[in-house]
Amino acid sequence: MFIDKIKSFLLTGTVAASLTIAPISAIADTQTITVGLSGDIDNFDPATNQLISFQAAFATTIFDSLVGYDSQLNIVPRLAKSYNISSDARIFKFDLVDGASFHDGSPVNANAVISSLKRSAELGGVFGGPLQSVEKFEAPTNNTVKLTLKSSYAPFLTALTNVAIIAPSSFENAVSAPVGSGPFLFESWTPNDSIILSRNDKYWGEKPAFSRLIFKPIPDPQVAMTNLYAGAIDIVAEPSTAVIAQVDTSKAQVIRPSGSNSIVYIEMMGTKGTLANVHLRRALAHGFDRETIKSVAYGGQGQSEASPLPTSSFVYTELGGYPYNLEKAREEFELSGAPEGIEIGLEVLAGFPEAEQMGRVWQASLSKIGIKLNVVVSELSVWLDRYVSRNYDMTWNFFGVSPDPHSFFDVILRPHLSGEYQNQKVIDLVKEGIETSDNMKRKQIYAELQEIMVKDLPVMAVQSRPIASIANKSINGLELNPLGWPLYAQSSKSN
Amino acid sequence: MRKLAPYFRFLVILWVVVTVVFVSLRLTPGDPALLLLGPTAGRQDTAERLADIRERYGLNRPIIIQYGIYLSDIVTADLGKSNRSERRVSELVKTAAPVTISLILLSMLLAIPISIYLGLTAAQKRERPYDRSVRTLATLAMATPSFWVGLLLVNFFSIRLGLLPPSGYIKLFVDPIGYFSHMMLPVVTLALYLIGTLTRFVYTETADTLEQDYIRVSRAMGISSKRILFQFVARNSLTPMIIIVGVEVGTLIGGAVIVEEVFGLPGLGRLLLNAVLGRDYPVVQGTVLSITVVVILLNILAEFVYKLLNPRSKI
Repeated sequence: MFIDKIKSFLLTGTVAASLTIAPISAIADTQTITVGLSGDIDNFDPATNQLISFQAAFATTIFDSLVGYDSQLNIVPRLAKSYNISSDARIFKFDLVDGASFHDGSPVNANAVISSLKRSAELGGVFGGPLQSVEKFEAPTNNTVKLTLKSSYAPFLTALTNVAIIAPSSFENAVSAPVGSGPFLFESWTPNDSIILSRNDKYWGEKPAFSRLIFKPIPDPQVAMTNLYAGAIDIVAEPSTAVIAQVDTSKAQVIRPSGSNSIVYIEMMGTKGTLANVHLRRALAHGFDRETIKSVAYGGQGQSEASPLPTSSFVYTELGGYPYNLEKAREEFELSGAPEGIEIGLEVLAGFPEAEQMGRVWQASLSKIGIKLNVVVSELSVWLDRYVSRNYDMTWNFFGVSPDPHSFFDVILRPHLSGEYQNQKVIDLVKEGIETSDNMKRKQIYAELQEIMVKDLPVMAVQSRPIASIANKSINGLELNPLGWPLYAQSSKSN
Repeated sequence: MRKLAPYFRFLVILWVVVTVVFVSLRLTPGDPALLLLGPTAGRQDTAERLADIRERYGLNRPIIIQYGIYLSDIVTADLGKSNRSERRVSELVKTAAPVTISLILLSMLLAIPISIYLGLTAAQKRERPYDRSVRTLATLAMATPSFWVGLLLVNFFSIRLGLLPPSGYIKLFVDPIGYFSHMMLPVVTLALYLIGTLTRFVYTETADTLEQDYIRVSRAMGISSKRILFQFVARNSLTPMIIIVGVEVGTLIGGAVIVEEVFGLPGLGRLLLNAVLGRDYPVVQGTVLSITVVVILLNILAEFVYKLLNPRSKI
């Protein structure tokens, strides 16, 4: 009898449970687009959060900048409806769009823009840094911003694409409550759960076709894909290379940009000085089997070139580099005078299996010429510690190179130039590159710089990273630019 | 004095946990300030910003001073602010705690009756196919990784059948149906492990009790075997389970980290994991402290209930 009672209890429980089951209905709502991000965002201040995933998610949604990118990385007007640059690239004048306002209702006028730019300059870093070269911030009219630089700075306009303009009232609380003037306004953030944006119905430009944009942090790629297939999210924003290759295209679409400016590098000059000898670096480069690495680690996708700049760059130069040749690798190894069996460490960031695969292929090749490659995979905080202090033999890294070639030399090469890679010629050329406004002359300068990079190998380019977003078939019109930023505002969702 | 001993023990455990967490966080490689700035933190033009961050969050002070400040904050019930989002740790814990508490409580509610039933009946049918199957399945349930079980359940119930949402959390009072439908798969995943552990425990206890003389006597008196099992045996073999459940809460919190990750639940486990990865010291410290207090209190409660039910015990 007791057993019968338990049985009936369990049965009732099952029935009750099944009654509570509600069919998944999130996807039916065409007004909400839900995006899976690879990690949570906890700092919403565009002047201090320098993470790529933050930029990709919010630079074109919550925020506006004076100028921005289109899907081909051409610079297009945004808050500045037009601009004027002096021939020496020193004076930049911007006419602001009419009727733009911040999400708090205050107008986007010259004074507000200048305060926001000054704040970015003060906070510095990669985004605000270039603004420190501004000598005078002026507002000739209520709708005109004039910036006079201390000296010519050709990449300045490109630098401004990364500087979000925020409402002066939000300076204090930008970390938790950002106020921009973009097509979506920030509604709420629940840690580890969701970031909710809603449409800015007073947006000065074309308004989005849907009313809510929700970001959900889903760190595990497999979990993200199951959520996509089940319809709980509409887009996986930053899938890893391995995930892109496994997408079931009958259930979802892979959206790729026209090209990839995200380039993978091996930075070869750490403070340990193991690779101080250029012949040893060249030996490693000759032992780097680009073809196999491309097919094993990157599923045959991307472009594997010697130049550190993306092939789409207006200064890109095709260079021979170091074809895979173990004979030549051995010759260079002997020239370097390094001992047989030397151990070299390669730092790799966890969460990027393709980087480890690349390391394993390289390891196998190098073992044939008497070099022992140790692939060290570390989580972000540990990798970052070593990266920033350059306490490594060599490290894997990747970077979204902006259309101006200076960004590679400014972000990736600069720490090495002030450290272990002493080369006055390169320092002079980098300076000349930013002070020259004539594009033909710049081409020559950067051609020479690319040649030196390949010859000296302080940093070796691996290849462009395949970037994509994966979306349900109900998502239309979504495009990615070559930096991997999905342009959410122009997309829509159908039933 | 003897009456004060449990409180003293409680405080000592808290102090040890707080100190171990504080020290181990500082010994773990990884700099919170660098993590806030990302890979460009090494540039000369960000040096000032790095210094600002260290100053703002007190990371530049000697460790012993940081420890002193932390202890005095705890005494005044201040868990501090997150180094990353600048939200109050108490607020973060308060938002995340109901999720984890729901998850653990519902898993227990599901697992306990099932384990009792399976454990008791298997012990009664010792060495028969039913008993062997139950024991094998219980071991399997304990050994199967929650991550895998979770994905399997999502695959079947969310993708194939489209019945249950694969992730997310809805508050109970906002939408009760949504709450239960979102909690169902995570609860089953977590409960599965618990069912494995508890079934094996109930089984062993019951098998021992069934060997006792008074059971034989009861049988000889002609009392039905069902009544013997569920009235006499159950009472004796289930009382120690209270202690085990108390202890298992700690293990379940560990399991909740994984389950919350798979099902995207914004609970304490996820809060803690992300705080560890981001070296958000105040959040890690505050979350661990809160969890420790709850686990200790639950264990004290379990001991109390056990003593109440079993006055002869010397626990």
